[in-house]
Parts: sequence; structure tokens; C-alpha cells
Amino acid sequence: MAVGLATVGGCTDPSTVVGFDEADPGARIRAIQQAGGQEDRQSLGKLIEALDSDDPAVRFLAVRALEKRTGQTFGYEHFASRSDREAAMKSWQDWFERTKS
Amino acid sequence: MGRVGKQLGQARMASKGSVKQAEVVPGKGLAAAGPAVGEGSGASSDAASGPAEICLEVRSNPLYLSAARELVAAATRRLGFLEEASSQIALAVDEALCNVIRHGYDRDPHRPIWISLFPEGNGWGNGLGNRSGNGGDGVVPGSVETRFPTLMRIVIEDEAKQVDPAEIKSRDLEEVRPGGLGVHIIKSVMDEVRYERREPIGMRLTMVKIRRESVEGVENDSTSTNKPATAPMVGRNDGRACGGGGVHG
Amino acid sequence: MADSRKNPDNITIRCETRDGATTVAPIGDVDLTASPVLRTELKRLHGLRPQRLIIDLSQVPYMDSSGVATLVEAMQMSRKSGTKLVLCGMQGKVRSIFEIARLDTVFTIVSDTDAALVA
Repeated sequence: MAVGLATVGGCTDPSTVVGFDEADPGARIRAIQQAGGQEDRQSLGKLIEALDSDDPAVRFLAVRALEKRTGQTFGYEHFASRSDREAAMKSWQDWFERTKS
Repeated sequence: MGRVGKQLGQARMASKGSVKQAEVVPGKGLAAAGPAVGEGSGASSDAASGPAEICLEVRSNPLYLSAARELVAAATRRLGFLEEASSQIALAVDEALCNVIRHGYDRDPHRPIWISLFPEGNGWGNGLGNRSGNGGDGVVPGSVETRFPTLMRIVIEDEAKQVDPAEIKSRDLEEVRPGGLGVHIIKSVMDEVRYERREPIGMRLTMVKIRRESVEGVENDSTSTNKPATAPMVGRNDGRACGGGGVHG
Repeated sequence: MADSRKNPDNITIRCETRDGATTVAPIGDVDLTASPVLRTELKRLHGLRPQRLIIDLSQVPYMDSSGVATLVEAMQMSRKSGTKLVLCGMQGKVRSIFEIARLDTVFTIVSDTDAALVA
């Protein structure tokens, strides 16, 4: 999966993605949960990246946050194997690209 | 767990020798998993998390509800959930089992129900089987740095008549009448609830409870009267499925 | 007059009648196994037309929705028969399920049997 999803256009507010890259698992999880209530694309991109986390709890919370924001999951199951998740993650990436305008 | 062991009666811990794990169909994930050939083969397994950490097969006899409750409560307490959360999880499992017994099996007390517990996060459920020595957030058996999981995923499966998952709803509570509270209770206490048909037979209920302390970043301290056990856990790293040979008290 | 009714379904129910009030005290978890037993007993007691029926839950550490349904049924019977129904001694987990079911304000719930006699 791509290392990071590009944000598009305009100024970005770094505060919306604070915590995603923290070493502390609790901080990462709080960031994900917070992102579920935000509306910016940067945190949306971070949530999509989190779908590829090694931590199944992070993956679960990320897809729940994405579902809360977008109403969809693209069939992503947080407990599926990586190969099974790849198709759904690709769908998310493609959707993210399509919706950048 | 001696008391639970006594109460289990005819219930038995699923083991690889006596119960075949559900197959995960490649490319389709758990939702499409079906039982292996043979009776009593519905226990959950999935590709990412591996076999369930705890897997209980129980007959649909209401006498065993208390055993299932106590097992789930004890396991979740031991894995860092506070008393209230553990009680809520046990209640949700109880309500789910009641629904299977009453509506799925029409009170037939001899049918199978599988309860699988998947702790996930903080090194749990990362699909690596033996989690020791994998660095990062890995759990090191016997280490005081053992971490509690972020969440508990519980899967309840049966071979009962199938229904449309969309029809399983909480009822309106404005009307005060007996009955119909089970789904509402489950959805009230758990963070995620999903019903789905299980192939080729029966239903599957997946419930998730997030451990608040993981999210809030505040683990239990010595002043808490309801703190979970903090002694290092003895790790099981042999990659086996449900423990064979009964309940260890 | 006190009475204890035991049965193999793992619940004991104590009953006592005093000054026109009948107190029934189940002892143990009220779940799908035990709630039918409690239901039968409550029906029997309603048949005796007490002025006041007190259900003492101080020795009920756990109740699921089948137990709640049994108490709702008892409330409905009481309204029809004019019996005053009071719950008392609710423990934490039992109170929680009543709150989840939004029944904590529907029943008369007091702290103990003394309060239930005058509620």
C-alpha cells in the first residue's frame, strides 16, 4: 500500500492528524477516534492508511471511523488476511483519488 | 475456574482433536467461512487473527448460561477490562445465547452454540500466532510488559434457522411490555454488533467491546478497586487452537 | 409466614406475608433458567390478591432480559389486580439492565424492604 495518500489543494491543518504516527498505541487510537468526527481530507487519508496497520484494533477503529464519515466500508473486514484486505484497501484508495476534487 | 468447570457439565472446550475449526475460504474472509465436515464444527477462526484465544462449544441448554457468563467475565477481567465492562460483555453474551436458544433453536436444549473470543490490539490478534519476540507491541510471554488488548471481539455462531439480518432490530422501548429486549441490550452495551448468515447453516453474531483504558491512555492504577489482574500472563505460544482437555481452574 | 421454595433450576425463592404485604425474595441469578420459576411463583402470589407485593432483589446479583420480562409481567398483573408492586434492594448489575431497558422510572424502586412497606 502507498506510504501515504497525498492531500490535495489548499492549506492543511496538521492538528487534524496529530497522534496517527505516535509510538503510543493509545495516542494512535485516540487520533483515529477523533478523526471519525472530522471533515478534512488529511485525516481521511490517514484513516485509509490505518487500514493497513499491523494492529487489528487500529484497523477496526479506522474502518469504523471511515464508515462514520462516508457511510461505506467497501467490504473491508479488519480481521481478514492482508491479501483479502488489499482489494478493499485498493477500493478505498481509488475512492480517495476520485473524490479529491 | 473450578466453579466454571463444574458448571460446564456437558459443555466442552472445543479442541483441535474433537472439533474441526471453521474453514476460511481464501479471498473471502470470515463472512464466507463454513464449517468443516462433521458435527460440532462451527467454531470461528479467521486468517488474520488465527484461531480464537478462547473457544467454547456449549449445548443450547439454559442451565449452561451461567457458565458461559462466568467464563467470559473472567476472561475479559483478566485481559484488562474493568468490572463494569466485563459484566456488560457477559450480559451481551448471555442475551445472545438466550436469543439463539429461544428463537433460533425453539428451546431445543441439545443443539450446538459456539462462543469465540478474539482479543485484539496491543500485540494481540496480529495473526502471527506466536506473538513473543516479534518486537514492537508484541506480547512477551511471562514478561511484566504484557499489555492488555485494545478490544475484545466475540463471535457467537449456531446452526439455527437463518433469518434476514436486517430483521434483527431493537424494539421500541416506549411500549412497556415483557420481552424483545435482548437485541437492544446487546446494542447498548457493545461498541459494534453485526448479525450475518453463516454458510452453509445458521447465524453468526459478531460483537466488539473496546477497552476504554486503551483509548484513554490511562491504565488501571493501584488505587482502583476494580482493577484487573496485573500479574504477568503465562503465554501460550504453541499456536494451538482452543485448549484441549477441559477447563483449567 | 415464611416459605422457601427450592427447585433444581438453581434459584431459591423466599416468601413472607406480613400485615397485608407479601415479600418475595429470589436468591440467585435470574436468567433464562430461573425466570420461569420466578414467574410461576409471582403468578401464584398474585392469585392470592395481596394488597402489596414487594420483590426483594437484594440477593439477586444478576438478571438478564428474561428476568426483566418476568418483572414487567408482574407489574402488568399488579395493575390489573390493584396490587401495589414495589421492587427493592436492587444491586448494581440489575439496576444497570433496568436503566438500559428504560424501566428504572417505570417501576417503584426503593432501597430496602422497610422502605417498600411504605412506598
